[in-house]
Amino acid sequence: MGKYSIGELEELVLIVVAILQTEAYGVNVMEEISSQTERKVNISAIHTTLDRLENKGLLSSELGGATATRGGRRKRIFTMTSTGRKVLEDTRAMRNKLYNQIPDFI
Amino acid sequence: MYDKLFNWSLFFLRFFIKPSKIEVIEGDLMELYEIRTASRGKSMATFRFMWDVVRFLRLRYIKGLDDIRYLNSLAMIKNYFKIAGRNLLRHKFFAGINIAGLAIGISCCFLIVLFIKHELSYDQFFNNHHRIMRLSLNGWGATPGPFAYTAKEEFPEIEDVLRITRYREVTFKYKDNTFALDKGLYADSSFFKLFEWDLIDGNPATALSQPNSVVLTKSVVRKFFNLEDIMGKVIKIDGVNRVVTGITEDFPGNSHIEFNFLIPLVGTRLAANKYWTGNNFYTYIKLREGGDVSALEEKFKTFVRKHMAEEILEFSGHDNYDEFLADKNSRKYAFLLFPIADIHLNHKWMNITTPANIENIYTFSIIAIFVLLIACINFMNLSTARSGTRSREVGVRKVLGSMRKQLTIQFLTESVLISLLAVIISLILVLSLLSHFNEMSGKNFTISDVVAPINLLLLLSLGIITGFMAGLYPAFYLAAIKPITALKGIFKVSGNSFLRKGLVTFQFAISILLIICTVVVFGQVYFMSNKSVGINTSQILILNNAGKTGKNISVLRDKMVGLSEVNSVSLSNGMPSTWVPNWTYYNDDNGHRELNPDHLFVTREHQEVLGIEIVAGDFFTGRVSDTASVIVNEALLKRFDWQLEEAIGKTLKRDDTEVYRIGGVMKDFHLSSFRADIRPLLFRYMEFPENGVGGGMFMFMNVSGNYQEVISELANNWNLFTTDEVLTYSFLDKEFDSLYDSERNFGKIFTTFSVLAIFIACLGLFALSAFMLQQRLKEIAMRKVLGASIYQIIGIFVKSFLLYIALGAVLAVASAYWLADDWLSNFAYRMGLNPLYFLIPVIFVTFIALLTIALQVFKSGNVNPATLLKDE
Repeated sequence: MGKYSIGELEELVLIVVAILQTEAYGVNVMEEISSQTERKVNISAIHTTLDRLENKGLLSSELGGATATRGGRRKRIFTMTSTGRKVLEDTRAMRNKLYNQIPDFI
Repeated sequence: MYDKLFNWSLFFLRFFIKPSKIEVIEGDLMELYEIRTASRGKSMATFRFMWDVVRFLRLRYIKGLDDIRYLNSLAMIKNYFKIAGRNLLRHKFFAGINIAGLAIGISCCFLIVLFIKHELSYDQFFNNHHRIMRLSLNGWGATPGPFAYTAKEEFPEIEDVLRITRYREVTFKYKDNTFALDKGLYADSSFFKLFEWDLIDGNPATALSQPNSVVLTKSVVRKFFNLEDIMGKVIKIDGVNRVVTGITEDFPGNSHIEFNFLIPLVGTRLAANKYWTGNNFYTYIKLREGGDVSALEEKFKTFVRKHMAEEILEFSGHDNYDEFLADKNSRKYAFLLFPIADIHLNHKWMNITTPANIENIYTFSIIAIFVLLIACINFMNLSTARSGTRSREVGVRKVLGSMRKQLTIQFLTESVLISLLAVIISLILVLSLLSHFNEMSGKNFTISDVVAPINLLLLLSLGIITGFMAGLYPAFYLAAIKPITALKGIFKVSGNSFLRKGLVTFQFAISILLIICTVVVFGQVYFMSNKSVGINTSQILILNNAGKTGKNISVLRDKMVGLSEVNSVSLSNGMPSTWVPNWTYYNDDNGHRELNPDHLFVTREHQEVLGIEIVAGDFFTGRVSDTASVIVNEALLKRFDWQLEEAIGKTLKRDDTEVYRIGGVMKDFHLSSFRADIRPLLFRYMEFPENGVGGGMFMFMNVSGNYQEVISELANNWNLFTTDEVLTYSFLDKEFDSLYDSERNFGKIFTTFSVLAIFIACLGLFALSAFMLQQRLKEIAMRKVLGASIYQIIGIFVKSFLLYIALGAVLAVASAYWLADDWLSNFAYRMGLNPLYFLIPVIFVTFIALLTIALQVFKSGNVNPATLLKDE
């Protein structure tokens, strides 16, 4: 951990981007989160989080092709960087380590 | 309709989102809109769309300044700041000197602005201050008692009137606590209503309506009653029991009225005074809204005729009032109204507190501007001198398409940045020097006054203006550098060295001028406090409130005379060095001639005590006729054109029944400061009162040997003969000396500013010579190689500055002589202007300047020439 500390929503978005592979862009990430966790997050919050993760170097992005559904606007497709993967694994490992220390964990 | 809403929101979104983000965000929002339209209908989708747009109002997505196209040059300005910052960091030494100089200059100016602002703000805190007038008689503050209420009855435009008058120093007694308090005022009950001033405790309408009450200020309650709840309690004031009927906030420092306590006028002997020709009161008149001041002043003329004519004629001896008015020599009664906000600044004689000293305001401001100017000159000199270091940059910028205007703006940005840094430092400086400044200016500024938003804004704008002032010339100068010469490396900085040295000359001229002024001011103070006033002052101990001993005065006298240290004791109703009354006398020998000599009652011992020299006649004779004789001084004889020989026996009259014969003539001595000529003086005889004495008496003791002994004996007796009174005594020499405190203060101002001026000027010279040396290092090295000694090299550099300093000295001495002469003409007794007063400052400043240069040369000249020359 140490150098990178990420928030709860950031972690969620990071995982979802990893799941979505090459289809990770704003709307998709939001839909995925809402369908998988039943959590309503506004699109602006998703954008903010994606930008922030990119600034931290955990995600990278490029502009994808235009589609007719978006009025001809391009998508920004996010992919996880190796640092992002590392941070995700670290976070998970740390969490598991802590979980395992709870006595009589069901 | 939904389409319209959608379009508006989209338009709004495009308006505020950063251009770099707009495509992706807009795409996502539109995709969501289409999904929602399909699943939940158009209306729902539109509202959600609008909501999403609103949610994108986040700092990271909103357009910044650099996204607005027509502020494109903002990026450039950012760049200017960046370059300016780097330049400051690279040349810390020069930047430091510039900032330090400007900080001192700005601090001085800022403090002066605070001071002047305060001086101009007097009495404007009163609600409706424009309707409150002070009544003035011929420009003076004291007015007749019956005027106020009679005028209120007769003139409907007068809403309210108020009379106040000063109360002498009194003794307070509360429980076991006794203390003396001054600055009391008698006031009519309309005091608080007229000034629209609220009480902290008590009813403003009735607080002053009962005799035997008193209103205290909060500071008195804090200082003497430990904030005890004193309201309604009884305090003994000069032996009279008074009930505290009100506690008031102190009037702010910027008021011409000042008081510690208020005593009601109602029921006093003073209030019952019905005489129109005795001027005992300060009168305030509040006009109704729309009341015409000049019309009212005009009406006062008939008012005076109606009420005062009779009494005036009694004194003047004219047959009727018209004749009195026609007589050029008679004293006229012109009643004027001055708005209270004007009193402090424009009506010196009407103040209860110290009036504004316009001369001080001017002096302060001029000097502050000088100091700032010196700092600005430093900046100009250093920037232009060092233009060589920036010439490459200018060249490259020009080649890349910079316009001259842009470069000018760049350098101006830099100078403003420097002066803004100076502002920050000067804020710290101002806060730490505040107490010193308060002492000099007699003001009472606090830290919260300084950091008030309006004042901070003022400081900031002062900084920006200074930045422009200092930076304008260097900016144009630097921006004019030709790119070809700059880039070829043949740019030389010698072109304007004449101007630069001229400016240095000017700096030193100002420094020398300020020092000469300091010397002259202190010289005059020294002259005045050491010149003999003509009587013995060094051995005189004065009991100020001798009247408080009442019938025991003669016992006290006997006790004091019995001490071996006390040579003689006398009584008088006035003390030299303070204000003494003047009474009117006339002589009819050669037509009616009037005079207002200073007038004192003295006992016969007074001559011996003060060591007064008698040049004709006797200082009273000890016979019964003494009560009908007077002792006068030579100045009085001169005014009547009497020779010394003929003076004895001349008569002076108060009226036909009161006739006095001159029994003796004193050699002139000073009753007040050396600022004024010796006024006519007249002593009347008084018996040493064996049966007791009233108020307002001073007991003079001629003391030799141990003063402490005398004072402790005096204190012992004081406690025997008085109850609950505070002993106050003074030494005559100290009192005379304190007459020159304002001049000393004036001198302190000059000292402070001249030290600052010299300091800044030397900083500038230091930096300038350092820079010039840097440029001529190789020359120094060559000279050394060829055999020049370090002293010869110092000589070369010093010589190049010497001429300019000499020129500055000539300028300074000429203007200083003119200024000093002008200032000294305020004094009836002035010192001679010794050439040394001018020479010493010149030598001093020259020495400091040369030392500054020499030290620099010495430092860099001592380097081994090989290290300087090897790289070529």
